[in-house]
Amino acid sequence: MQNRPDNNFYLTFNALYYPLAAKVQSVVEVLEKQRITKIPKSPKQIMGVISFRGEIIPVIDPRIILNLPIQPFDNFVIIVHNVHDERYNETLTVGVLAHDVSNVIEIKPLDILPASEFNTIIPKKYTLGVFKDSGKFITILDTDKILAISYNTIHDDNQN
Amino acid sequence: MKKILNIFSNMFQGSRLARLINIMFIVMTILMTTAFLITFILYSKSLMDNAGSKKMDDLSARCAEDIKHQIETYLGQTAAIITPLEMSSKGYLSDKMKRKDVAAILFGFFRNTEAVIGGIKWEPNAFDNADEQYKNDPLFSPYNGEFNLFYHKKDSSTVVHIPEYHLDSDIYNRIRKNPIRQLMPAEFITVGKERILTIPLAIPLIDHENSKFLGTFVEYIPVDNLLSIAQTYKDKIGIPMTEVIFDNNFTIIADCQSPSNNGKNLGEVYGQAAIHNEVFNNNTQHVVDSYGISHHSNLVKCGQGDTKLVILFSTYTYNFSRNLYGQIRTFVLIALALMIVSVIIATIISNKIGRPISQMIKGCQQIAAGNINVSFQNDFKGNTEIAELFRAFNDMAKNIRRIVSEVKQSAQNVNSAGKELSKSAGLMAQGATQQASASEQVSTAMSEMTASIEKNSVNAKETEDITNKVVQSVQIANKSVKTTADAIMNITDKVGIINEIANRTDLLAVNAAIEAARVGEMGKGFAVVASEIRKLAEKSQTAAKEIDTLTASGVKQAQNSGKLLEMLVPEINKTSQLVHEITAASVEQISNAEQVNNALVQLNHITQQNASTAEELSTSADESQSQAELLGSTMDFFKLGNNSSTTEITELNKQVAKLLDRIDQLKKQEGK
Repeated sequence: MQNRPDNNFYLTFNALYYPLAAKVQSVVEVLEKQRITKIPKSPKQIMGVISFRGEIIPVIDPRIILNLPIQPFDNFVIIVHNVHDERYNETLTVGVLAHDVSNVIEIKPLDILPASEFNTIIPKKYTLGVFKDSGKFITILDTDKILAISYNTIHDDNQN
Repeated sequence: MKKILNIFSNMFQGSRLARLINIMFIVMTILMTTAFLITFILYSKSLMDNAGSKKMDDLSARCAEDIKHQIETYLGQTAAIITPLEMSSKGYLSDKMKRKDVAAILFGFFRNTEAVIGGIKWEPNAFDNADEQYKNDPLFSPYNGEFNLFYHKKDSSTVVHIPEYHLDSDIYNRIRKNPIRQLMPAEFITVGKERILTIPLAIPLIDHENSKFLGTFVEYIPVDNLLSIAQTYKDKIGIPMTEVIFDNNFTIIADCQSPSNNGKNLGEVYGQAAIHNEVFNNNTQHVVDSYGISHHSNLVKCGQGDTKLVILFSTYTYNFSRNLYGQIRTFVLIALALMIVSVIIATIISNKIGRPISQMIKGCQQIAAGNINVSFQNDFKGNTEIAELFRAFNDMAKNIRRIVSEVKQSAQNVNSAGKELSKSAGLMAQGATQQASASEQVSTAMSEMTASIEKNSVNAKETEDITNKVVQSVQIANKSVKTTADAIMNITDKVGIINEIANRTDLLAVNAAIEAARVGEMGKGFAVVASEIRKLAEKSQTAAKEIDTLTASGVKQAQNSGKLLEMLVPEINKTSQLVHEITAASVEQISNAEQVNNALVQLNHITQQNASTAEELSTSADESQSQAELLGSTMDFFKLGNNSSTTEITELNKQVAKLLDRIDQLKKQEGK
């Protein structure tokens, strides 16, 4: 939708204590903590559904997909993303659970490093790169890939 | 032996009791023996007399019977040949043969009998009417041709015909006049040089058909046969006596005492015609004559004639009891032996009883004299009363010794104790006066104490009031602390609202920033505003957080102080209670102190009494000391052995006294 290659703004957030970033273009809104309705027999990574602007959208726990350590939490926010599913060529709206949102910052494409085992614990295929902000490595998620896969199917890597 | 001699020597040296026992035993033995002897003699004499005479009677009767039997046996034997002799005179056989046969019959008869001699004489021509024919035959007759046979038995087997002998005409005539079988008076027969006394047994030969006297058969029985029978009875009777058999003519047939008297006249030999006549004629079986001779007779009558044999046993009556004297002698010997034995026994018994008693008397006398160191060293074993007496005596002496020594010792002890007592009494009196002064001091101290206690009580009351006031103000403080805490809690609530508002504002700012970023260059100004808003929101957030922490700590402090105050209240209450108790206790103390004061007054009084009592005690101790000395001197009456133990005890006592003195000195020194 807003595929502008010159847009270098990124939303940084903590996926429950691990610093992550996502392209601002994919982010629709940040919602405050609210009740999530659970769906029986749903896959593990889908925590439930919420109502967003008259639509029912799923909320995903990224820690399960990204193999992050699972810790208890009290406060959280839901970041609503628009993702593009390549297989069906359609746009989906998905809520992602996060600890809190940090900031909206501008990163020059030159500052973005390729992801490696040394600077992130996230699998390389789900990343767009890594950048450094105030001494911390922040991983940029390829939200289209992750959220589309997790939304439609059970993740293949979980089976591996 | 030596021992026995010793016993005998002791017999009369011993105590009076021992002598008494000895004499008693001897007298008793003599009396008993004599009594028994007298009874024995009296009883056994009569018994012996009766038994002796009866035995003599019995034996004479049996002797007579035997002799009669013997003679009858001879008569029976003759009967066997009388019939053939009577038959042979009837003339059935030839003359010569007849006479030879009769001779053979007689020969056989004499060979088989015990008769020594015998023969037959016929009436002239009574046998075969041929006396003339055998006139010169020496076999039959020395004269007249009478058939006259005579045989002599020399020894057991040889029988000899003696032609020169022929039957005595006296016997023949008597039988002829009175033809009956009978014994004839004894007579001597001379065969060769031998003169044999015999009893002729005459049997007539009679022709029973014609009642005609044929002749006489005579068997001379030697008296030796009868004598031997009589002799056996003499031996049987066992006492000296004369045994005589005599016949009608008072001729002695057999005299067992002296066979040389045989054939003599009884009267000539023994000279007691009266007795003999009485015996013979009256058939008296038992006569005692004036000489004390007991005659026992029995008559033997054989055949049909008058001839009688008398068997006479004569003996002195004292012979009956002659054995008695021997028995008496042995009896007396036994009695003597018994006497000796009894004397020995008596001596032993008297030794066993008398000597110990005399020893005991000596021991008792010694104890009476005060010499109590008496004990008998002998081993008094066994269960006899004497042994027990000695043991008891020893025990008694030992106990007396022990008691006396103990009494002496205790007297000394009492003596020394009296000294100690008087000394202590003095000390006590001194102590009592000291006590009195001390008690006065105590009483003054007590009055001071009472005053201070009263002060205490007043102070305690004041303290109580103050604590009550403190309790009230603490309660008020507690209340105000609580209201403060409530106010702070309100503030906290309000701050929470502010915090929420700040959070929301922050989120809104973020969303605005996102929107601005998406717009790109055009939204830059908006983005700046959004970030500013975000900063403000964050500031208010931090401020709210700070307030929150501050209020939280304030609440905590308030709660803590409230708790402390609450805790303080019961403590204060307790203090006030304790103070109250102190007040009560001091009131009680006052009364107690008064009591103590009273007690001290009494104590003072008692102490004075004690002092006087101690003085009395001292005087009584002196008195007891003197009494103990008196007791000691009294007990000195008993002499205790070698005095080794008592001297030791006294020395020991002295040393103990010295020791006590030293201890006292040491105590005094310590006191100084």
